[in-house]
Amino acid sequence: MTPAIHAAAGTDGPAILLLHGYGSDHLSWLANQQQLAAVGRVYALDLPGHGETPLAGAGLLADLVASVEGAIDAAGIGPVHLVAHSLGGAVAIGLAAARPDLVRSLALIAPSGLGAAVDAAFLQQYPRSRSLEETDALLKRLVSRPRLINRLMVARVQAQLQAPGGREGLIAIAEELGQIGSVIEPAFQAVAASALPRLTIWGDADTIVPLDRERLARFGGESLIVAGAAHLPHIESARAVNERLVAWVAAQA
Amino acid sequence: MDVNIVLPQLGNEIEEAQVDAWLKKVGDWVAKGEQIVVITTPKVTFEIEAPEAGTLKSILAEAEEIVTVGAILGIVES
Repeated sequence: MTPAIHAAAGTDGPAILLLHGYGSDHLSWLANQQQLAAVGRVYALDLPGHGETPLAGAGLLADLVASVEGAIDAAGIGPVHLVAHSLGGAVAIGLAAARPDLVRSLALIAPSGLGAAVDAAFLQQYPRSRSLEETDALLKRLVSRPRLINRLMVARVQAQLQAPGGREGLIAIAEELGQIGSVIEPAFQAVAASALPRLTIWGDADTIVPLDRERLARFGGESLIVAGAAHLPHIESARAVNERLVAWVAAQA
Repeated sequence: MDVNIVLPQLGNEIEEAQVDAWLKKVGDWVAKGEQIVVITTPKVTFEIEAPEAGTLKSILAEAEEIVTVGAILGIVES
């Protein structure tokens, strides 16, 4: 099933497509999407295995890339500026390599496959968690301030895991994320060798997808390292990240 | 001068959110840009910053309250 494209915010300017992270969905950009609407029409979708979109294929990166490609083509919004977090960042790199005609620029936030290996214990435990307490503890590893994880979010994650196919889909994608560095290597090299404008944003306290400065340098482009932020710098340091993202998209015009 | 702390626009699909916690008490001094109140939804929890430096004069939406976009959450006297 092709993911539905949601009009998240804004009515004018170039199309900006938001790709969420693992275990999240298209509503995870509430601290960013309205700000981005100052420079474009902001769209979001649910990646396969998340939100309203069922798992595509075996949940491989190639399956997710093909789904996003299909969604952009079906909605006729391409080419787009991609703003992508974590798992979505890996999808964005894959799409930029497979269909460069659909991508104007990349803004990647803690992208899987571009940093050090994704935390293996997190990938093992998150899709298998069965209690609110366990989920709460896992989610708090994403952020530098525990107050950014609320019980509503914890309950929502458990509901998603308990929905038909929810847990199985996230387990399948976690398997792929466990080896994302090697999976993404051809796409990484293709984008690194291209002239595609790219910005990477990372929290220097991220332990889920730790920053790898040497690999980031090989990827090229601009970067913003957010001091003290963990895996959700676009929420933990929303103002600084939003300012950079808005300037980034505006500069591509 | 009184400056409102407002629940900002959050995009097309979200009309309301919940006040999770105030990080300051009425009477506390806040710096411009200092995080002052935590807002939550089932998908994201985020902080709203003080619009101006001043004293938190009043809290109009207490923790646990559901508030709509554009609602005045509190007032800073700058």
